[in-house]
Amino acid sequence: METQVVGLDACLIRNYLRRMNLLRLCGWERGAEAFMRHDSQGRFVPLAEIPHQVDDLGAQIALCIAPGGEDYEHANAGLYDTAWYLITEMANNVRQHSRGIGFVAAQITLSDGYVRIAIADGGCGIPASLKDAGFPWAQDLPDEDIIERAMVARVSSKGQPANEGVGLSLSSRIVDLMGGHMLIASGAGTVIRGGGTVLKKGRFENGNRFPGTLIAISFLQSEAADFDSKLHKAKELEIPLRAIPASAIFQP
Amino acid sequence: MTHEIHLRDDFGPRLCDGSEAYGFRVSNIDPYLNLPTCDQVILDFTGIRSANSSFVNALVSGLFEQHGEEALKKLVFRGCLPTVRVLVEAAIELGMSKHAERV
Repeated sequence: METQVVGLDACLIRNYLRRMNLLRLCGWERGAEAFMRHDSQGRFVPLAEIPHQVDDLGAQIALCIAPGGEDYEHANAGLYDTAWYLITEMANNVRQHSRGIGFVAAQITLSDGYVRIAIADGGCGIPASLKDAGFPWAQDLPDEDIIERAMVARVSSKGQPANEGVGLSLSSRIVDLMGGHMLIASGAGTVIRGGGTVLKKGRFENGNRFPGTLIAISFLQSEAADFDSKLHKAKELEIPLRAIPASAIFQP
Repeated sequence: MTHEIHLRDDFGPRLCDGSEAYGFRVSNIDPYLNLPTCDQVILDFTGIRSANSSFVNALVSGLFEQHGEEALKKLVFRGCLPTVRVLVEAAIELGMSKHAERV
């Protein structure tokens, strides 16, 4: 199916969308590129399709956001780890749950210090995925309430034994702890979480729907340096620990 | 008998695919935990730079859900970076909680 675009000439961010590959990926521009590409110098990562293996994709984008961070001793290691973790968790969701094609892009805005990552897919969406999985609680809830529940630990459409359903909730909490927000739009519903709570929940106007899932994440670059401790804190907040934690054997 | 598993040899430096982890666990770890002659199973994370919850939970949580305290006695986690260790500890807690619910 071919889509048509109307009013692109009047779009004020047309050149930005072109450089982010949106026009080409949508099939709205074909043939040779009529502009010169420059090195993004760690400021943005153009839209890329999520492949079967999300590992390399996560590493490439993390490296662009945090140059040098693949070295654990580097000053950018925390930012690299944050980006890699969030991208691979979200991209895994796209690949495993949505049954559709997905895209990811990232940007750092130096003026406000925020890292922004967006992941979108044209699959079945979170509400439909959880309804199809047969969860009784999901059958009669509005889409925005289903999305909210999906952001809570141990809710996953894929289910046991390969999935514990903590990826989305831990990611959301990590973003919280880094002074950011997570927006999820799927089906008819939208939810924005930040500061440990749901900031806004609603529905698209006029009965509109987004058939897949869009996840937009923002977090402060300066808060990502201690990813280890943020992850630890997120774990404590999202995963109910037993009174006496298990004493497993760890060796250096 | 001690059985050592070097994860980097099988998965490279980054661990992120939960379905791969689950398959590996069933075929390469579970059988040794069930083996009476196997005293210790070492999961060696040396050389693993990054891991996410999908992978670590699929690899570790089910072992504890299934084997409980026995897994605590037999399993050793070696060479974890701090980030990886947090994820392993979370997976153990999830698994042990579910084991307690089953008993």
